[in-house]
Amino acid sequence: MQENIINELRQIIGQENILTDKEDLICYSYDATSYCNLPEVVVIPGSAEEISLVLKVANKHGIPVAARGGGTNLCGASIPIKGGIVLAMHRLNKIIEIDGDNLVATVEAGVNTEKFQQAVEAKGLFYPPDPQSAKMSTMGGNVAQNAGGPKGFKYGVTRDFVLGMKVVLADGTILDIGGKTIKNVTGYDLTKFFTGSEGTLGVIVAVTFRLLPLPEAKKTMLAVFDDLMDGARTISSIVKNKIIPVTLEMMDQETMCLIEESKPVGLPTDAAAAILIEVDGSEHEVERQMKKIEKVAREEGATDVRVARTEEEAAKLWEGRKAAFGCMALSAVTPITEDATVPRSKLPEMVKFIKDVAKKYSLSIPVLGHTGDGNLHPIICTDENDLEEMKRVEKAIDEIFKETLRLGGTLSGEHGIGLAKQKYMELEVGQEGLQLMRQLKKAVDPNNILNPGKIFLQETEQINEKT
Amino acid sequence: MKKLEAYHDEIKHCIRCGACQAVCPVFEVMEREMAVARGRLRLIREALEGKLDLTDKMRDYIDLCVGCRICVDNCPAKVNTDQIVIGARHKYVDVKGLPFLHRIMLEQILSKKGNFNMALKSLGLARGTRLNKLLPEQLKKKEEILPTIPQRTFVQKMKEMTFDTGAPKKVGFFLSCMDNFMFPEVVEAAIMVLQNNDWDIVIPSDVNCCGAPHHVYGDWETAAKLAKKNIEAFQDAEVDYIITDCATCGSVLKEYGEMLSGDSLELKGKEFAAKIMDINAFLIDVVKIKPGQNKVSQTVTYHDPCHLVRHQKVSKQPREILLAVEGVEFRECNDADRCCGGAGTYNINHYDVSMKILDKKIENIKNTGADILATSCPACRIQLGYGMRRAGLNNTVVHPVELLARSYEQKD
Repeated sequence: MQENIINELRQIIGQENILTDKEDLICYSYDATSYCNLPEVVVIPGSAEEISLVLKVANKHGIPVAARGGGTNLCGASIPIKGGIVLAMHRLNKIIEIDGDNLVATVEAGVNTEKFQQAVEAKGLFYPPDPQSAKMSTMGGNVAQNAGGPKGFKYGVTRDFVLGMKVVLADGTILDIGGKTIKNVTGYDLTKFFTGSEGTLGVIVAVTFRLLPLPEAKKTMLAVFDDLMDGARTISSIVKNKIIPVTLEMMDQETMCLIEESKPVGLPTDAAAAILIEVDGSEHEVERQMKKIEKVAREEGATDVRVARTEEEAAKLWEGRKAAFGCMALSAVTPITEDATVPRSKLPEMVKFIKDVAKKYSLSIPVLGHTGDGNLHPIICTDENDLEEMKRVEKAIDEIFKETLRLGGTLSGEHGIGLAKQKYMELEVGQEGLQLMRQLKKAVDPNNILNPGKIFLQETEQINEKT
Repeated sequence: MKKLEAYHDEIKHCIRCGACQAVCPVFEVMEREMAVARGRLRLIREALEGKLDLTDKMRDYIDLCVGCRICVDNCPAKVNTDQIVIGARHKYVDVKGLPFLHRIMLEQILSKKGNFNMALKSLGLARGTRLNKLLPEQLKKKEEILPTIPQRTFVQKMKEMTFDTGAPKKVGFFLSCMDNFMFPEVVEAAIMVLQNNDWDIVIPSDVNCCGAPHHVYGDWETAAKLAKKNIEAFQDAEVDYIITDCATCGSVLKEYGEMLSGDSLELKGKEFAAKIMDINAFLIDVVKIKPGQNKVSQTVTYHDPCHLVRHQKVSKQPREILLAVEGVEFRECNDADRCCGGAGTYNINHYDVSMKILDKKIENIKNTGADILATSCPACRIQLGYGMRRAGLNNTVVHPVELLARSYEQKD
């Protein structure tokens, strides 16, 4: 990048918030995938106006801009794959308002997810989406990726809570869309348009979320199985019995062993599978649901159903679950977490398929997932340096995706497409779907400066190499 | 100790999940990737793979680590970032030597007791004559961190003390520089507590600095020399346990085996290390103390030194000591085990970052409403005492054994 452009950026943002040394660039070149690429400059803006000016400069010179929150991305969406500018959003970290009268809250994009959850809970309110990276991810990142989490089963995902936002377009236009009302059918639903767009359509600066009252009670229980398929059937069976717990998190034995090795939280490592279940509601409702779930689980073959006696005990189990992805790194330097999602009735079939694929290609693929909504996380534990194994990994992933789509599912439930899954896009959305997406992108970002190379490529773009 | 190259495989297990960002005290106040474990590990990895030179800037980022180890405890892949950071500093010392100020501090002051004493005495003198007021603003602030320097060191005082009371059991005591020069009252309290519980205490006065500052700043050669001298100082002590009230000393004394790995004294280092115990743990687990009769009517909270809670896994015992003292009302502090930002000389080398970390700590302590703050490390004590003065608070900072000692004090 030319020095005069960097100087232009310095004048907008201030010297101390522009990083150009190699040591700094390296630290903004990665996320939680194995992709990485150096940006040319890291820009740390403090307001929508500053972002607008930065984008004007970038748009004028055709410089790529990748916005970055906590950098915990699992599909490579936050990697500056074409170099250019990384827009690090952490200075925009204010909770602007928690409006209890309207059950909404407005936050800046860089607000930490868990801190936001705690802030609303302190007021007796509830923001359910709970990506397992909540301790480090940001609300802007959550919206850009349309993050999910275990609670998605009962409450839905980030998209279901976004009511309005402030977004900066590629040409620097600052746009306020949506608002504080639940109902809003004035024109196209632009808030949904930007939600989950992975930074390719605009830079999200602030978001207004819908909130719920905090449920009166909640309980965590663990159903234990001798056979993984019993567990998978239990999930389908609970849903069939018209019970909607907050979470139905299944973990297989391999997953539990790895979690226990890293963070002993008391998971039954001698069992083939366990389902971590949270129920919430009124005291009475919680009791009723727990009884019913226990009955169903036992009918499907659960060998044990344990209830966390204290909040600490429940929190500990969840700590273990949250660490699951990281724990895979104990045994593998490249854990690739997929999030193929199928209609929940197809869950047992899909679980079996993944286990068979693992066997077929001699791979270690622990399976866990937010199985209540059919969202599986097979984590392929591999080593990117082992080229022979990586070939088998690729074949296994191909098969998993094809089967997912055959069962009526989707490539990604919640992690996004980013760099990791774009080659499968056409399989799911078709040539026509892809074409429409390309046209939409071109309409809002004609110079293709916003996170180029992600989700899908424009016709003129080169395929991205993993660096 | 493991050289940096030996950590290459371990570093690859950092999959950049970001769990360290949720806990790192430096990241909390700086919010930049270079100030957190995964950033540092990435830089080190690039350097090991020949993609980045050992630059001064990278050294600055490596030095920004407080070494509190909270990222390690929270790392799902258990990457020992604190050790890797120390390995990287050693690499820098190896290739580029110590930076000038570190060299003066580590080689000329901390390894030579006489010079250390003289430096502090000069500071006392400067303060007495108000010469310190003439220091430039930045330096003045740093000078203010240090507490009042006592007139006499513990070694000077100990000449008039009785150590051999004929008690049935005896324990060795490693006298830390900080206690000797700044907090002799803690050692006096330890002696009182032990003697009241029928233990005699052996304190070799010819011990040297434990080597912790040298070790963490990568000067392993000097650290090993100091280790050997200290092992020798206890040669004739004939004790099964060697205790210390300094969390930092304790954590590094326990490493003597590894610090002398490959040396002829390696075995002796290991034997020595196996005897080391934190005084809180020793009083509860071995002595099984009986507190004295006096009531100590105070509200007390506790700060866990990183070198005790994570490096030595001691957190229950100091609290048990406080709870054992009659009259003490113990109030747990929010985030009690988070770093205070002191970290040896971190507060001097990285004053602004350190103060931001400290302010959060002081806020939490203030919220307990306790009159007294207890902690088990003189370095934390200096930092926290300064934090109190900065915040205009009057709370005293003590070691848990000082409160315990009060329960035995003779009343006039």
